[in-house]
Amino acid sequence: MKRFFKSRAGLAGFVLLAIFVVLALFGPLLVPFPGAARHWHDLSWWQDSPAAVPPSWMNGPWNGYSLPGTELLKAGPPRERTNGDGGRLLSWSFPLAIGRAGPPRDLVLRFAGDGKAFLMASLVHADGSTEEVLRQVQEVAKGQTGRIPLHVQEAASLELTEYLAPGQAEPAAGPSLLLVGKSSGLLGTDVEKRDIWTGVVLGIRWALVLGAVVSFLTVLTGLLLGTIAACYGGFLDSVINRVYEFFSLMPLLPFLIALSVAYHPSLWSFMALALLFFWTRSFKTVYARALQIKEEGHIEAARMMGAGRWWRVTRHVLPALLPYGFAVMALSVPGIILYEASVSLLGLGDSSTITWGQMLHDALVQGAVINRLWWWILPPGLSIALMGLTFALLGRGFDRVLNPRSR
Amino acid sequence: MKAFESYAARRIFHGLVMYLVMALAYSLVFNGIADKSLRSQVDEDVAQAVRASTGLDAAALTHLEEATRAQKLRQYHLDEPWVQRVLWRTAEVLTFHFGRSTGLSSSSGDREVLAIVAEALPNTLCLFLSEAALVLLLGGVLGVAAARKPHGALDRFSSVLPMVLNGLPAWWVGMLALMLFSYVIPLFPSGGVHVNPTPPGLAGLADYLWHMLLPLITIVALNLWNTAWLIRNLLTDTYAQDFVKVARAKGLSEARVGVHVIAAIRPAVATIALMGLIQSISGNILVEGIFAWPGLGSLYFAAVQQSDVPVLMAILSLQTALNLAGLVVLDLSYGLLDPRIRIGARS
Repeated sequence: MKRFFKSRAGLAGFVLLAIFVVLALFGPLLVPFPGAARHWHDLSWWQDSPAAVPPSWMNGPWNGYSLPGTELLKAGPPRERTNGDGGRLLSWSFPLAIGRAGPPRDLVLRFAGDGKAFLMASLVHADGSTEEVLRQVQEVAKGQTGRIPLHVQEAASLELTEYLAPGQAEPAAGPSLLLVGKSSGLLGTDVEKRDIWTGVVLGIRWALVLGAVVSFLTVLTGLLLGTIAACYGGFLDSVINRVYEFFSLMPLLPFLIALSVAYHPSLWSFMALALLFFWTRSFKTVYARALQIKEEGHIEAARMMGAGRWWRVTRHVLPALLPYGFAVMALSVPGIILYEASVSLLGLGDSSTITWGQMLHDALVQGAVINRLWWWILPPGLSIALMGLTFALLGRGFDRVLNPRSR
Repeated sequence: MKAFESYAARRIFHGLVMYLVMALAYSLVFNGIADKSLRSQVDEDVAQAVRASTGLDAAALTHLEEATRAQKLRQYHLDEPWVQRVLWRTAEVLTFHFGRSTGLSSSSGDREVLAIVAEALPNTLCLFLSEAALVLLLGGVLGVAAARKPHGALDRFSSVLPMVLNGLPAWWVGMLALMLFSYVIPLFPSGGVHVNPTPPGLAGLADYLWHMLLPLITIVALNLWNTAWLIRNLLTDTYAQDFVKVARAKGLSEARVGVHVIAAIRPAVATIALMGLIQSISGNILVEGIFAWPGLGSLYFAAVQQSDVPVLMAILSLQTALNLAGLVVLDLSYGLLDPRIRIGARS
């Protein structure tokens, strides 16, 4: 263990893994939309975010602060007038200062629901002229939030007036105005208005679970089958090797396609199929190593002393292979994550979870490349690469410990 | 040599058996979907036959419908139990009878699967053979350069880089490259093989190569480093062997020593080149889809999206055949390239 941490690769891999694990565990605390794991595909959940905008740190003096973030303007106390029919008119003024960020801006007028609301809105321009943009009766159920989207070119402020018929109570809560931003969050948003940073962080858990579970079980299977084939030889050896040949040549894809036609593809079915197929990736190396180990002197000595084959395999060969298995496990993780991403890219992934491959699939399908939405393409791919690097480093660290020649 | 021939015969036979097994597996897996699309094909055919007939009364029409249906069901083997259907489909795959696609068509509108695949295959071969050649060439140069100065800057760089690139999806790099060099800086065309209209003659060829350049650069830049690293290791290992010391002790010039070293590493280099090609075709095929390069990869994308089983079967069996053939060629080439390996000879 000490030697593992002495190798720079192993240490770097360990640190990166620790960061990933912390992010996976405490991810919901670090993202602006903690509920996103359940609502990623619920598009109405994201409706107040801007669509396909760059990260908020893109807003700066170099572009004259032309990419402001989303702002929520809360209304102050209303000015009140009495209407001719005895009803009341409540009006609020929202300062806009749109000129600086550059038109146009999307505004969303929000108000608490309480039955019918008769709303009028007009824009006040810098020269004092006004322009009516809204005059409508909006029906909103009690407890719901009413939303009226407005598209504004140029204005100094917005004047909102609500008419209350005689005897009608005041709205439960005052209205507010959402100035939809031209930049958002740490990594921007996608076309469906989802926060990319949230997606990237919440994608870690699936990458880790997938990588850990599949690599552990497949390498374990490969280890056992490789040992059995090498130590028992004969008929068992040739059968296992034929099966290996079949599964190593057979692509996983046809099975996934056949499955996705009948069922909704899920991460679990992908995992099950991966278990069936990916043990071949570690089998051959384990097999070759086991063939060497079983001929080593101390095992030969054990045989001379009357140790049976079962004893030799379980007490001598497997323990010698086990640490070696760790390196293989770590090294097999990047391939698994990569495969899931490729499958997702083809549209055969689990569309009910957030995985990086799924995000990239959305990006490809929804034109992120053509529209140059780099903040949508870069982070998921970089995460895949970084996760791959983490396990490659860990694997190299194990290798340094176990393989004295490479030290 | 007799021993080698019998070994070769056995190895090729083994490869063919493997191919048969795989074809059987594909037929088994896709049996359900293929049946469904064939049944809708039958419905379509029957409806067409009914529409084409005129001047028949109701009874005759029903008779025609039933007769056509029965004939079509027989034609597509749908009246047989599924086991027989799987075997029939396997036989079809083995004899390259992939039938008609269920939705995709070639550029001339042909729905024959072989025509569709034949149209895509040259583009894929062109892209990936150029890639393999360039990777071997540039990887070889880099590998030699790195091996010359072990632990030098280049050596360290080229030992770390494969690790970083290993977990990188090639198609993602393709997306980035396309966005950067085609949409942000419009240097390269955004997809396809030709501008419209296709220029005639040599200009057409230049245009083709021009369209191939960005996908080619992308996959070469990604796969180059692995090859460089393998060749570097191969060279340092070989130069550390006793025969090199002996050769030097005999007073041979470095150039002569180099000749011996090259002879010794030939089979390994052949392996690297061939495995690189096979792995690249199966691993980077999705890159084609990103660049809209109309090869097997793009076809793959489309066939998966539309669940077009006949086309998928054709691509998969082609890929399998390519893989198996590569492995067989590799095993056989060991015996020819490396005099130390005596296949079939009794020790």
